[in-house]
Amino acid sequence: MAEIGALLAELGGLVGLAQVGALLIGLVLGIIVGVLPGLGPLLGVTLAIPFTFHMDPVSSIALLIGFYQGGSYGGAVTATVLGIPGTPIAAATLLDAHPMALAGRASEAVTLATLASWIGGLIGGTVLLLTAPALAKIAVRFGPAETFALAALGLTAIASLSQGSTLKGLLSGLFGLMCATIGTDPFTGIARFNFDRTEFSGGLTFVALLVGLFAVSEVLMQIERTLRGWQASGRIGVAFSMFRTVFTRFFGYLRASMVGVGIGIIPAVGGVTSAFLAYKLARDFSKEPERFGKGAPEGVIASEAANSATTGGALIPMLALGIPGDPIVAVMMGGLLIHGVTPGPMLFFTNLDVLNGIFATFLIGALLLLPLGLALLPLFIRVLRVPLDYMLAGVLLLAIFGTFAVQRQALDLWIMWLFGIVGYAMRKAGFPLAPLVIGFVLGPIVEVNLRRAATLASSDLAGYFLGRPIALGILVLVVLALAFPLFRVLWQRRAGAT
Amino acid sequence: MPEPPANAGSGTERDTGWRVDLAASLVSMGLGAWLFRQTFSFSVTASERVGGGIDAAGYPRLLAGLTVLLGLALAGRALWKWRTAGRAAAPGPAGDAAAQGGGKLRAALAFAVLLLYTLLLEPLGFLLATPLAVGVLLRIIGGRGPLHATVAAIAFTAAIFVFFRYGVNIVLPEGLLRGISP
Repeated sequence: MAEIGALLAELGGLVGLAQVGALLIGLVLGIIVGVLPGLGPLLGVTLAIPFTFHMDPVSSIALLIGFYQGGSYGGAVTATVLGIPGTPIAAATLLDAHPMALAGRASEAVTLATLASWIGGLIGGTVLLLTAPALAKIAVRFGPAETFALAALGLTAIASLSQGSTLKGLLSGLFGLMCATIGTDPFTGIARFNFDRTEFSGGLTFVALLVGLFAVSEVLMQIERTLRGWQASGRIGVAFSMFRTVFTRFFGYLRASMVGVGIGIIPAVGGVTSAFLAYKLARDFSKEPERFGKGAPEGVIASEAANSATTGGALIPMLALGIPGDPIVAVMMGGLLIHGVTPGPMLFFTNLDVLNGIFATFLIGALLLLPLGLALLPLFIRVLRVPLDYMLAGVLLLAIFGTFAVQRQALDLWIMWLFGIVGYAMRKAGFPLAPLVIGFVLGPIVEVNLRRAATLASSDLAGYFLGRPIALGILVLVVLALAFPLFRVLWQRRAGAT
Repeated sequence: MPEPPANAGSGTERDTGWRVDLAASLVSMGLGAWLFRQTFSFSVTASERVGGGIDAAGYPRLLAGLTVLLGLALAGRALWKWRTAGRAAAPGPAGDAAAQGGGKLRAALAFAVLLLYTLLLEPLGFLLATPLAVGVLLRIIGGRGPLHATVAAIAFTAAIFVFFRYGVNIVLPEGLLRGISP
């Protein structure tokens, strides 16, 4: 305990006013982005990336962490008030939060959701702090074969476990890997796919690809849908009576948070699954399961604590192994790479100040979520009155000038529009976007380590991998991840037959 | 486990018809084949051909080959869908189709405005091009009246200008107003 206390004191000393300021801005804007239906933490982190270029690495990651934590929580407000999840991860929350609101208990539901997000975030942050260094100590011994296998696992897991067709997920991931080869070869310096333009020698601009893929395609999808405004009614405040649930339902908070962290560590599974799994567990453990879906506070606690704790869990593989488990974390990893900070086990030796800054800002962000979430609740409710067309025009302008600001060249805007159309077409054709961005971020890691392993292996690459049990074990997991959808179909057919 | 509600956020369309899958597979195969061919134009010298063929050209060639193979598999799946689900998908209600068509047109128009805006941004400058583009966008997206759209567009332009110019110290394209813009 004394060690942890000393560590926390040390962490606190690493974060200055600039970092806390960036974190606060990220949290407030993140909650707003989470509250607005159709947006969410991914879009928030994406739009924030261009503004991190001129910040120091810790302030930059603090801003992104704020967006991640705030955005993950903000959807609960919308789920309660409007009965639609502001973000997909709040889908489980609305099952009980909205019935509570309909019964005149909106303040209680929002307060519970805030408390649960707060506790989930703190537990997630604590597990992150305690687990990531231990995992990194193991991973630091990995050679190119193991690193390649890990990156391949991250990519195949997200391709096969994310919703929709595995084939499409894999194609999306391959497309991301291909996009990462544009530019200059990392070993020999020869030009590849540069279309005879020097602007491409450094590769595709990450921000342009990202903003096009997620922000532009999302706005186009929203424009295409029937446009209607949102109407939040009723007065919502803080229900202080709910604070006692921290003691009376402590195990409910704890169980859901641990589910959230555990699911967060697994690549691709994410907050939606953790929230529904924790919700199911809470219902199964309840003495009155019939109250679930009709306004049970335990349902709100389970869902929100789990999805909030998932954020801490999801950062563990990124920081310790260099493998982003979900698209938001992939974007954050890209944000670190922009500053020359490479996530992975070596981070624990080469950039300890940045790493500790990340731990500290995550914990401070988790702590600040409760006072901010409750104090600014009226503002967040008011945000729901912003007309949708204004919101979309604002997102587009931020996307355009955020991308333009990075290198101040119009070519980046054209790349952004191209990937906007690519993202839109992929969504329409049922291709998940997450594997593409993860493929793009992991591309250099996959290529460099595969080619290093191939060089070490001389002419017998298969024999080289067979002689390295850890790499082989991870590759077996890759095969299992690829086979998982097949097992799922067989299991569903069997369940259907019985 | 409880199912997520139907309105659990936007995103990827989960189930697509065989035509969409077939088209996607053809695009994937075409892209893979084109990239595969492009890799032969890389100037990799003999001394750089190390690593059992996984060199500067071999790695993207491997990815392009895998793309073609997976594209083929997707085509096979599309054909299987066609055989099992019938050649023609059941048509949806006419109203839905009309609404979707209207939405697509709105999105296409908005995108065309954005492309035109990108073309005009540097010659005209931010302060002239932005209110024009935002005004037209608000008319297309939200169906706002001309006066409302104009006032909102000017307000948006001013807010973005102040944020970038004075908030994050980024000079936006000045275009025709070079030397006289704030």
